[in-house]
Amino acid sequence: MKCKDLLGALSEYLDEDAKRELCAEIERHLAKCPSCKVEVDTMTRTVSLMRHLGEGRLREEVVIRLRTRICTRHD
Amino acid sequence: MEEERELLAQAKDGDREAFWELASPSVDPIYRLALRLMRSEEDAEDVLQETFLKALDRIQDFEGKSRFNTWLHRIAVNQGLMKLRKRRSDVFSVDAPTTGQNGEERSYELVDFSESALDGVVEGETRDVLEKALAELPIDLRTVVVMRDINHLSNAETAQALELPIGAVKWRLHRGRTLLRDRLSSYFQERVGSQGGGES
Repeated sequence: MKCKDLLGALSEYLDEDAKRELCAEIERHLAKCPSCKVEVDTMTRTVSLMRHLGEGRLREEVVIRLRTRICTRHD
Repeated sequence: MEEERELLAQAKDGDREAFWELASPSVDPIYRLALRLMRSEEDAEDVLQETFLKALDRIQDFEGKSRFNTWLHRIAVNQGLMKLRKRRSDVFSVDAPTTGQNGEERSYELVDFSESALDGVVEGETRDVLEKALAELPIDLRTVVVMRDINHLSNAETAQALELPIGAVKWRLHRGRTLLRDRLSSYFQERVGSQGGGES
């Protein structure tokens, strides 16, 4: 596998959609290519940080306003 | 899925409580999406309300071919885009080739920040940088990134919500993530630079 091939398969690898053989090939490449390792590690960290942006809940009063509008809406 | 079907049937019969039970798990994700689309809390709340009221009005049109949550995402994107078009303040990008696509080799040094962002906890400043970088992404990339990485929709659900081929969703996701990562990399580079500046 070349660096270019790894970059092409990166999203699949990050989303764990890559087939087992492809994962093994990527991991073999990562073991000997420090720049691709940084590529993968930083992308993995970015995705993980993004997932944390989804934490936290909407203010209760907004939810109550929404529920009230739904329940009182005329047909 | 069975429970969703039952609630849907009741909601179609006019049961508002059933509608709420069906729709309420999507309140937070739809607000998160609306907030990143509109970049304003007030507009995001409007989009949230409009999305749920539209879903209520059009409940008879929902055939259950996708998850209810996916359908709500689709309505929310349409409502948000309509509002933005009226405002005309957002530039809509297209999938024109830009730098950094799949397979393209990197021409600059990437800073390894994978250990810097502490144990997956988003520190305040990093969170702000990431939110700002997300807000600056073209809207088509931003929408996909929010749906996939913040709201945890699958590629297939995102494609369904946006009426796009899965390949386009994957491309936008990759491009969006790469731009965000590059922004974080420059941020950590600046931080390392400013910390090391006075030591020599």
